[in-house]
Amino acid sequence: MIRRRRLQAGHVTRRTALRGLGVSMALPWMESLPARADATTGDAPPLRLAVLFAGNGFHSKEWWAEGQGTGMRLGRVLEPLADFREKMLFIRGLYNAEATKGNIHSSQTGNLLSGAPLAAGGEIRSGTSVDQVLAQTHGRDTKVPSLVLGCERSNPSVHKNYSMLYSSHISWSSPTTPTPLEIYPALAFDRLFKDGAEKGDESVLDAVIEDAGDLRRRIGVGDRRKLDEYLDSVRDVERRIEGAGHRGELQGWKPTLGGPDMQRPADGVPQDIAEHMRLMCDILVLGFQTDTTRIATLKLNNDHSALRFPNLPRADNPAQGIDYMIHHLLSHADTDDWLRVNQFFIEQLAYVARRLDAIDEGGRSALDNSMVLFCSSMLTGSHDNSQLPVVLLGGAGGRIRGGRVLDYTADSNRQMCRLYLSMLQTSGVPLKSFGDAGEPLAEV
Amino acid sequence: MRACGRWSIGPGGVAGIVLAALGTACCAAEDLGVRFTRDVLPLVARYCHECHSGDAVEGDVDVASATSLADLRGDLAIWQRAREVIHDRQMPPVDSAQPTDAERDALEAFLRDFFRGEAASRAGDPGEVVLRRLDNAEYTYTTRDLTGVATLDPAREFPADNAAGEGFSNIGQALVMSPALAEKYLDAAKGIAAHAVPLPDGLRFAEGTSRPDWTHECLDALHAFYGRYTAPVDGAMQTVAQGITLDLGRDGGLPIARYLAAASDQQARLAAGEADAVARERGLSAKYLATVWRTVTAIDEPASPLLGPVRRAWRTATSSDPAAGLRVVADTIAPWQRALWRFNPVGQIARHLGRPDGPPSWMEAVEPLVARQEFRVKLEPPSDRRDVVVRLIATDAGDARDRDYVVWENPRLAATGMPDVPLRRLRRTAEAVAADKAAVAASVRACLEALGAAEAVRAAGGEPEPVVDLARTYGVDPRVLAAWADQLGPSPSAPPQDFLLEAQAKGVAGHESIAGWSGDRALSVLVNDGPESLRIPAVFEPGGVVAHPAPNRSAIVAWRSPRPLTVRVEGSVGQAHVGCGNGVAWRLEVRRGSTRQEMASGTTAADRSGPTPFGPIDGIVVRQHDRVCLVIDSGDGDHACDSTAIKLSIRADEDAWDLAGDLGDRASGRGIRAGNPVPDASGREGIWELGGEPTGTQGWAIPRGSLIARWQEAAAVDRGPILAEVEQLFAASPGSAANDLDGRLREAILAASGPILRRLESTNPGPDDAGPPADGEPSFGHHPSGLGDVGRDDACVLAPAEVTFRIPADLAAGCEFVVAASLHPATAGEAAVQAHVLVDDTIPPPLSPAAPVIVAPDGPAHGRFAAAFAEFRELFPPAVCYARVVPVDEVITLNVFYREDHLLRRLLLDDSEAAHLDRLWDDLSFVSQEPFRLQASHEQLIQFATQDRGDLVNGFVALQPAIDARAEAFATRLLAAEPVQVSAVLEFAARAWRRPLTDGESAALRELYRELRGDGLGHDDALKLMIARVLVAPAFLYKLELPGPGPAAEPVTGRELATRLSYFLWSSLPDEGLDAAADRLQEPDVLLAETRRLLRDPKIRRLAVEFGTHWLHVHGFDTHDEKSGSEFPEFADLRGPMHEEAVLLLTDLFQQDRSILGLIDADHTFLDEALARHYRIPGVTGPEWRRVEGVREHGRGGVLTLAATLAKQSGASRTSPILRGTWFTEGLLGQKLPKPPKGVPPLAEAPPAGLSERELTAMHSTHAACAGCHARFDPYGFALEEFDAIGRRRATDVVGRPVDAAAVLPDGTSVSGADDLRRYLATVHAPAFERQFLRKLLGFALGRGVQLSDEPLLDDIQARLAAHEHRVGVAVESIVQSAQFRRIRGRDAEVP
Repeated sequence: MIRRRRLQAGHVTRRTALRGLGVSMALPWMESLPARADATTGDAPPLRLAVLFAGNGFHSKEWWAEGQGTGMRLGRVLEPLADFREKMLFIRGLYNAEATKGNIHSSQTGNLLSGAPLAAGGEIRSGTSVDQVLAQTHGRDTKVPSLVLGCERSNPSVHKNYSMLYSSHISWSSPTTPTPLEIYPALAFDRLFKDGAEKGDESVLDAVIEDAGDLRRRIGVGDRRKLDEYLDSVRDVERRIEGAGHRGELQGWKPTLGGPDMQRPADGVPQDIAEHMRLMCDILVLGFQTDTTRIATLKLNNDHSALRFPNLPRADNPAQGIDYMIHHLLSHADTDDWLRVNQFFIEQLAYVARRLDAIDEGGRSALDNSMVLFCSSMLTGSHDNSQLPVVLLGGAGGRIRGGRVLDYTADSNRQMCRLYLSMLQTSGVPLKSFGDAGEPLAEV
Repeated sequence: MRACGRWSIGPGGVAGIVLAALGTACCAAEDLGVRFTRDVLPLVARYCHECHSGDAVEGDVDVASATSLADLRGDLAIWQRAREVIHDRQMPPVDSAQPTDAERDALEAFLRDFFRGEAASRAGDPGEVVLRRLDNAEYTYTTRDLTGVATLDPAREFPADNAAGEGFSNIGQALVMSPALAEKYLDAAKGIAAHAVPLPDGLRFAEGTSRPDWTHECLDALHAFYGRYTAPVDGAMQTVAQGITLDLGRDGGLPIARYLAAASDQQARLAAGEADAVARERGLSAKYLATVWRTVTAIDEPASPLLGPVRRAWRTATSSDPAAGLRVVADTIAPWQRALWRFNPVGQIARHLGRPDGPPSWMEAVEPLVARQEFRVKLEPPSDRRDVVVRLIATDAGDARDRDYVVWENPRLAATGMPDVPLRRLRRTAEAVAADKAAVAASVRACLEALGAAEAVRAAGGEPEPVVDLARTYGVDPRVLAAWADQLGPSPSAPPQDFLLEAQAKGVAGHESIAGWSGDRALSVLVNDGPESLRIPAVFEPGGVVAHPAPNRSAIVAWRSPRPLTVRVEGSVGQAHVGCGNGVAWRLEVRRGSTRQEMASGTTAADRSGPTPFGPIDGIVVRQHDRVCLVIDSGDGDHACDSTAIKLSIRADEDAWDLAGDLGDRASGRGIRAGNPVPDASGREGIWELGGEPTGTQGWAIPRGSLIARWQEAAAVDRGPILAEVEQLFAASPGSAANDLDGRLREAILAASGPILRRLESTNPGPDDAGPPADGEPSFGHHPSGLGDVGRDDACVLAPAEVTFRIPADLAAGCEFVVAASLHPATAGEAAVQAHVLVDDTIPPPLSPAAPVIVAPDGPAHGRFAAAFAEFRELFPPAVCYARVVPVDEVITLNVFYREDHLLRRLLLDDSEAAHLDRLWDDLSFVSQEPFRLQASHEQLIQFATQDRGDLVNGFVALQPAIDARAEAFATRLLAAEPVQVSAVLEFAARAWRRPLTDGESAALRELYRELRGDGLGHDDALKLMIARVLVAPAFLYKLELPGPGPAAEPVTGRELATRLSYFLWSSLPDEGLDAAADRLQEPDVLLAETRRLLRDPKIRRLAVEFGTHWLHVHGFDTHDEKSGSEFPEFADLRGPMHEEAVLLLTDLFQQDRSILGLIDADHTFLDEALARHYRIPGVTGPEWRRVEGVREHGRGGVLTLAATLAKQSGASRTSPILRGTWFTEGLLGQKLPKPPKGVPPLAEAPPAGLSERELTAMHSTHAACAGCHARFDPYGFALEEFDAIGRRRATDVVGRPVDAAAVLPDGTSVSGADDLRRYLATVHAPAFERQFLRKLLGFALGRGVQLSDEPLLDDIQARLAAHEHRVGVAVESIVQSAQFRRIRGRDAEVP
């Protein structure tokens, strides 16, 4: 749809003007990449990517898997995934070199999905994360390019010269822009399903974009980068509004569900953490099933999290909940309580997998058409990120064969980014390198 | 301390001072290069190169490439870091070769000197301040300040802010944006815009987002305004409409007592003309206070009949008596207020709309002046049968004139059905009545026997002999027997005159099946003879009969007995209107001759839930033509909604009648449509009579079960014993047995106004001879001075005068005393009197507010009194405004709002107050769109009238043109206001954007409005979108500053500086004052003055919250959710108070300009009761916050022992010496701790049970990789172990052992407990504490991390603080005056 604008004679349109000024249009370097046609178009179900993150690592003795297919044996942390052994890759040994350089916590998470170096001091800089790279190439095929969800507020502090925003954000839309997490289930739901093209919105956004364009010329380079974040964001909103009512024409594929089959969640953040996580998982699944989005990250908690789990019974006294903080007292010791909390997180992953697997998309389930990556910023609760815990569920539309344990412990090139590169290539993004990886994982 | 001269010379100024202080370093500048090459390079090569040189450098740190000072300068960050790790002895690593102490000293000395020099050379650099979006707090404060709506919370669901720089969220780098957030901003902006209220002259923002909300806010403002001047009016003022009691509005009363009290207390000052000051002190109107003062102190000359008493009363009231004012009011003012004013319902006042009938106003002047006054006094004979004394008093109305001749016109006794008894003939009449009574009493038995005989003849089909003959036969007075025959004889065949309803009604309310008969004013009996239930709005069930009374006329359904019968009667009465009306009174009667017996009665008022049944009543003996009547009466004269569903059925042995069946019998051609009376089902004519009669004119009621009733119903053979009883009854002496049924029967029969004597006209004895007057009685028919004629039955007296009449009890019973008072025409012109008719012995004053003044309408006295009343009304009205504004004194109101406040304006308001009031009213009218609402309520009123009050419809319809014209004019006004409101958005934009708009921006905003209107949006919606557009503009969301061209730093503009200043101190945009000063803000004096003003403002609390709580790491602690709910259930209620304490302590610091070091060891804190209880500090009760001194003896005082900081630096259920120690070291002292080592081994799988927090920590820290560092901070935490995980003081730890709070600090100092630690901090580390505070404050102010070039500024501030008692204001002033705060790097400055 072309927006109506009254133009004065001899007046160039705003867009022409902006292009003339070389305004960045949502990362043009990405736009110029040709997407492989068969990956996302046609009448085949699309490939979906979900990343679930749980901070603070896992029980050091119970995070393991051995064997193949149905014969695969799982450590106790992974027990909730027993039903999905054939659709699962358990990957050992990958790591993120940059994350081992800085501080603990604050610099172990912000680059998990990009492998980029993190800036310390006043500067905020990481790298564009794998989900956002995908969102910027394929995101426009759906109403919502990507969902960035979380179950814990970010922590407004600075920790040993690193902003704690690093530990609260895994998804970055540019090296300087962490994507704010939506923690309100209702608002996440709205983002997917509200067709809020109210009359006049476009005129307002148009005017504002014009403001930003005018300003851009008069400010310094550093400020310009900041203003562009805003400009791109507003433009994205405008684009969504313009696209409202045209959905379905974009995809070329009819999802199994036309609209939400759940009520809009209540306003606010649920008091109960289990309910909160469950709602966020539901929304993620719903986004995929309705093809409103194909890319989602769900950060179940922050690294250096302050969550408590009064909903889980204590090992030594089941009448009481694990009502103490995950960080430190809990994560720094391999206790039974810690194991229960670990399992609780894996249950969320299993829940997403189970729901996706129940959606039949013409012979394959939605899980078979997805990649569901589960990871943390450290392997154990004691800040050990010399290896990262990684599980990849789903068949990527038949491109990934599950039921395997991949072990890169002995590999000298065991960059986590190799996995991302594999996933990007699987998704039809023909990048030759990503982060600190120059080649994909052949086995994936 | 005039700093202006110094800092105005630019960034070099401050640096200059520092450089001067570092003279040796300065002079040794060349030496630094030498020292580097000579002293440093060899050490670096020896101890560092192994790891930090070549291709693969550890940690990306390459020190080998630095071979000159220039190289160092190119890699400052690395060398700063190197300095830290060397200083902390982290480098070289322990397993590498270590430098000697001398080598270390040399290295550190060089680095110190080098960095000092570097800092000095760059001092004042504004630094890189990346474009900053408003953070959530700033956005919230800004929108609140911008709109004035303090309840806005638009960022509620925004993503949490992140922190960067010095740990604050106002740092550009951490303030990110995303499409989701942009959309939230758009939604939030639209949400804020929804609060915008269009006004005639612009815009305002309201708390609510709907027109009803806004209207309420306008009303609240108006009520508050009225409330400032008024008080409730004394006494209940109510009206009853449609059976609902409604309040006439009691607010708006004039609190005269307060004015009189002030006048009485402050006589001297008021006499000295200080009314303004007195009024201000007491919250009174100066204008009215002056008026009251003038009035009460004026000389009463000429004597004022009303004000005179007020002045006298006030003069006797002494200033020592606080109730004096009240008493003056109660005695001399309030009674006259009640006499001179009345209050009307205002809901339908419509004179201004062209409806002349109805009340003119809420308060209406009453003029108690009459030419003639009538009295009717109900006489109640005393129980001891003494005479009733009636006093007729005439006063001179207080004006002491001597020709006040009053005529008492025809004083008389009156009773229904009895000729009046003129008092001129009082004694004569009394004698005649007594004689008749005796005759009647003596002949009752004989008369009844005679009637019984006649009845027997009649029953046998014969014709009884005439009464005269019968009387002779039985030896009784024929007059008496005739009277008895009239009462008890046969019932008439035809109904009484005027009884039957004559107008036939068909197709009532458009329903064909409703028909019946009606009279005037809704009097009717109707039946629904169709099959469907109808609602018109009264409900007509199929076949149902509905009767409706008129205000003063009952609706009656009568069944006339076709022959003598014994019948059984039953039925019911119920409201036919649903949800309206006040019910009816009903009676079931048997009527015979002129008497009646009441069988049942009730009201439907109490029970609206369903019909009230009556009967069955068995064994009712009726003779031919006796009637069974169901009477429906409006009850109180209010007949609206009195439609009443009635059922009545009568059954005899072999016959039955049903009202509904007979009336609704349409099929047979009979029924109600055939005529009135209505025949019964078998075709007998004249059975059902549908009629009405005036309320209260029933015949004589024979009490059921009394002797006469029993006699009537008894068969002839059974009457003998009854007659014997009758004889006995009337033979007894009067007064005996007077209270039982028959006693009352006897009194009624023998009363002068009773059924027999009335007929005998006993009170009208023939000859007209009055005889001479008795004591106290006037002489009738004569003028006392012979000045003119006086009527025969009238008495004329010269006021003041009293005449009395003694009326015998027999005569007084059931009578009213009736008289009129007037002036004798011969002297009426100048006379003025008041007349009283009293039956007690009160003595009325000469001029009483309780009675009107009788004057001739056109005489001079009339003018005199009218003027006196008017003067009083003007000065002392009971109320001055209809403060309720919204009328609720009618069931349906026409007036949406009602304004009546001219008295308030005239008496109490000065011009500006009156203008303000007008403004409030105009806003209310405009905002509520009152003219449109009036149209709607008018329409509603017409519909209501159409249904229930057809008589009112025309009156309301007549208002239509005026109401439509108002609405049309308002529509025009709305249109005219549109461009004004659009311009107001431009002004709003300028404020929101914190700078004037450019012409282009103004034009673009206007263009947007036109575009939106062109897209079909209404004005209000377009206006809101404009506002939303302003609030999502980068100019609003971002603190934009335009750098100068080139790389050099330049001062920011005054406006940019104003914004920096207000966001620093208030986290919000500049207020009007700062805005006005903006252009001159780069002038030192102006900047300083504004800074100090902002610091004193209550908004400085935001600095405490946004800077202070971040500095203390307790930001957002009021929602802290990390405590174990099972361990600390009380925490949820305490976290708010804990947070508030910290905020108040810091607010006090800034607002009162206190010492920064006082934060360490203050002996006071701020507490409410909850927190004081938590702290176990006694003597603090109540929820309000207060400063409490002497808290150190309770272990509190200063930031170290705030519950908030202690709890924040703890675990969910346990304390954490590690967290507290780290907070102390890093947060308070600003020391940099090394990062924790990699691969910390996990704690033991299950920590041994029974370990205290301290022991757990110790266990954790014993690991070799950890111990070194933990020893640097754990001890501080140990010293705070006296406080548990929610900051409570404790004696024992979690495992129940005495708390061990002893610790050896890193410098070897031994401490035990928080008090020691506090002392240690205050003495040893005060400079470090202060430095860290300043570093944070500077970082917050600048919106960036503090950098090397800021060190000279910090040095300078600390030096100034030392000279100024460490007052925080000095620090704030130094920061805002600094080059970095006032300048901005050039557009082309190098960006890292």
